[in-house]
Amino acid sequence: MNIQITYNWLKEYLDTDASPYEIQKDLSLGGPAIERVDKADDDYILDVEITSNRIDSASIIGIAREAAALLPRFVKKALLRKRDWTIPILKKNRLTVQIEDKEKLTNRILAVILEGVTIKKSPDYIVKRLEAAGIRSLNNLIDITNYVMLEIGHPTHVFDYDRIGTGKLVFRTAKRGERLITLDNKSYTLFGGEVVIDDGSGRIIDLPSIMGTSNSVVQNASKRIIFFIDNVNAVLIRKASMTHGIRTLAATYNEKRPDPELGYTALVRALNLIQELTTPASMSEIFDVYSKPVKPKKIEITPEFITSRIGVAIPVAKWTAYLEPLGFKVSKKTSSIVVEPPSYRASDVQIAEDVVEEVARIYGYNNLPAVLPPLTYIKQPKEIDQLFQFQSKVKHFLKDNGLHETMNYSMISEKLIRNAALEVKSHVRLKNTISEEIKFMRTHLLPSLFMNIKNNEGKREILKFFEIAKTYKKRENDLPVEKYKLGIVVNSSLSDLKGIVDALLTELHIDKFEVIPSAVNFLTKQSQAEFFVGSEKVGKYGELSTEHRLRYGLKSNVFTAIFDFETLIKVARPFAKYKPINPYSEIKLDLTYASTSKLTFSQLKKISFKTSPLLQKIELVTVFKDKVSLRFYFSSQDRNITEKEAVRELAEIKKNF
Amino acid sequence: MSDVTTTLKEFKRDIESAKNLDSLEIIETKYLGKKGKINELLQSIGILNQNERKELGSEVNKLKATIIQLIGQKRTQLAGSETSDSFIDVTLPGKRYPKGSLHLVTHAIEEISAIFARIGFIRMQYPEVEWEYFSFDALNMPKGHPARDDFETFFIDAEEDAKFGKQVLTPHTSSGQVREMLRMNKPPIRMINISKCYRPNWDTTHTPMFHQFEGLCVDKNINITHLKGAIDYFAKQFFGENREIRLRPNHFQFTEPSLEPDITCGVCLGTGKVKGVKCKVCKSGWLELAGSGMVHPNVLRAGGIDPDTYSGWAFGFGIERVMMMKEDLKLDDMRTMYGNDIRFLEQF
Repeated sequence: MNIQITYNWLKEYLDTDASPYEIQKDLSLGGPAIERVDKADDDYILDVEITSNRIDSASIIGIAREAAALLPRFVKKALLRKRDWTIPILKKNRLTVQIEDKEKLTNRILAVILEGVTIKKSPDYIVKRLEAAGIRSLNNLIDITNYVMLEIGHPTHVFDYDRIGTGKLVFRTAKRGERLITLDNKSYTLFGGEVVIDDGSGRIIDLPSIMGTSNSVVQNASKRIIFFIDNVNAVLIRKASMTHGIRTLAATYNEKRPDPELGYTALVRALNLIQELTTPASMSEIFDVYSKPVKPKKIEITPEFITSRIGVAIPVAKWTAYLEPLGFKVSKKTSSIVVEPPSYRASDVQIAEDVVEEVARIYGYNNLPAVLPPLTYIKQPKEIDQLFQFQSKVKHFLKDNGLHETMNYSMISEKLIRNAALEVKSHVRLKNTISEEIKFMRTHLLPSLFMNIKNNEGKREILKFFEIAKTYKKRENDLPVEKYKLGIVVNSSLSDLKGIVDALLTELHIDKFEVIPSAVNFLTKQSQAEFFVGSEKVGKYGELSTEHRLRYGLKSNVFTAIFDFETLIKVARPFAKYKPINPYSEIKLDLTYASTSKLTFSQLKKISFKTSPLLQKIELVTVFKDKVSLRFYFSSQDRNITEKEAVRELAEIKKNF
Repeated sequence: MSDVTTTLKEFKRDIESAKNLDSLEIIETKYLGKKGKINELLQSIGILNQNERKELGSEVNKLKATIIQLIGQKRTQLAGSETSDSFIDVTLPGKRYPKGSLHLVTHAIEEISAIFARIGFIRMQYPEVEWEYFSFDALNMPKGHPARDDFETFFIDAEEDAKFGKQVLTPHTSSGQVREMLRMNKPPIRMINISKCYRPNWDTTHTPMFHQFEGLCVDKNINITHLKGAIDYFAKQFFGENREIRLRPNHFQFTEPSLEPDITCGVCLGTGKVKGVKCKVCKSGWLELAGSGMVHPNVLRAGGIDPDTYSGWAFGFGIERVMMMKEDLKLDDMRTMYGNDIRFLEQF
């Protein structure tokens, strides 16, 4: 969270000669980051980032403490100005409020009833400081609640005593379906489980720690008020605030566990302001429900431990002195030091490592040397090493051959699953997605890749994409199986795609693969096949069927190939297999034949090699309609063969077609 | 006149008339080729007696040497004077070769892996769909921690496991920390874990899927200066020398102390402004680069490592973020990264 405070306000608690810009620079390095400094009239606004563990520093007092600890490290003067507030002397009244918390939802509740307040405009300095913090001034009483929150660091609230009527404040969790109207006149139906206050009759009169309700809020005519501080279960506050989208500043404080002890300081400070600005006639006793006071843990720590974690020896006298402006109590034993954090750091500082952090950050991370960790050999599992190496190899190869790598979300929409004619229920589903577009974990890469073509149609004439990514296969009672696949899509031609695939397999030294026509539903019947190496199915390729093409809204034909990446690695060879150079003659003969479903190239190849021991390789020369021209290479490993011999071999092959 | 003299004369006439390298080639073949004049003369030797043979042999060899020399001279002369009549536009582009591209994230992953391999860190990978236990509990983030709620983490519609809790899409690569500790059994550990991560945010600075890389170093006597050393080393290797780094305190449940390295913004170059307007990407010129810190003793314990004997550091960087922060990459919308627009992809 960020808070905005002003420089002059800070100086009411801090005696310093540092400029706001110096404070920004120095505090940001060792404490809360001051993200911006903006000049505003005769003051400066500091925009401060507060980390979730340091809600104690989300205030003028908190920032003053940090500055008092840090600025001297940069040789700047910075001393805390003690402003010890005491309860104002006012005539006592006998008004009471009965506070009930049977479900133990609160850490501390403080309430005071004041009679005869005058509600009017706040003084200028308060209006300006609240404005700087992004808070609109309403009236003196409401403004005091916000002003004290920013100054002390604990949210506060004020009720109209007479509008509550019963004099009872009952903390309870809401039932599902209960309704309330917040003070900004918005109506909410509760999910159940939110902490609410009712007046004892079942009527909800507050959504504590988040926002007041319109039926109990002070009005201009209010005379009797309850000044109120509630420190409530932070988890329930955050949940209610997030689910209803009521993100008030008070809620962001209260969900971070502000210190209940600080609640009392806030109350006393507020009473002083109330006395000064609203001139009440009398006040009640202070009602304080606080069953388990905060008890900070004492931490025993050795100087050696501090040195071993920071890496630099800092003299004990020095580092213990760092802790004092932050409110820590330090006492020395013979060989160790006992550090007791202040109440507002009780939940944040509990172990020795927490003390190391305080010492290290005040000492200054920028004062530490940078040392590389000592070198040691760690063995990387072979299959992991191979996986990354092959991924890199394949990616670079495809890129060098003109393909573009895409990266799609692992989550896809139900619509895309249906487009791909896949089963929705076999997909891993996100319970709390933020968009229908990203609701299911994909089991296949191709639907996303088809969308890549679709979304780029018209931007470039030729589109060639690939992606290597995990797919997620649902399992019962276990995490899904995460498997890498390689998907390729092009809009050029089947022959172009096949060329890419052939080249890839050659690059991976997979020389003995077989192509067998297949019958996959999303590919065109005539133009699809599967790759096998031995009995291992490596992948498939083909043309997207017209029916599927139209489902994706694709204008042009799309050709695609998909591989199981682990299988690809399994059949690949990391290095070429050397064949001795053949010194004997090589005879090349061409052959043209008519291609039919009964005589595919794959079959012809198989027959040819089976028939002729002299055949070394077959190359495709041209394809014209169904006429395919091939070039046959014949040679022997131990003698020169004659052209006659080769012609005879080819004739023999032809006979076997 | 002997045959040798005639041949030399004829050769001189021929070479005189040679106007270009092609005609010189023909002359070379005529005299020095397999069926050329020199071989013809040598074949005639067979009919001579021994003395004559010796004499003619030496003469023919002399002739051959002369011819080779003269052809060489002529070739140099012709090569120097040859000019072409036709105009060639040498500024025209050559034959077009395919130009593909790798995704930005791939470029980053490869570079990062290489940088850390040089200091002995192995790259690992762990599940993206992960148990709450490894994503949170083991990382000292107990039930009720805000990061575990519906607004910060994607949950999977699946049965809850009695031991490991619900299934989630891991919101950070830190889920690999305890898995690596358990895999290694005991330190030393030097790992980077690069993976897709997921969080329910989708705007100019967030995509619901993104990449992180996690560094983990556990050993005896590891301290903050080693963390600083590793981050410093990475920043210098990856971003170059003209970017500045600062370390600031922060808060993460699984590290103590926790540190946040910042880097000067690459879009506004640390000034906080672009053309007089507040920089859309950074805060007063600084960008949060990563989360890091010394591994929390509870995390070491969850990984079966004794925090009294060993200590360690860990960091997590957003890959898209570090890529955007690299000098020449001024992306002002993170969503472009996964839009897969060819006009974006083809540039890398």
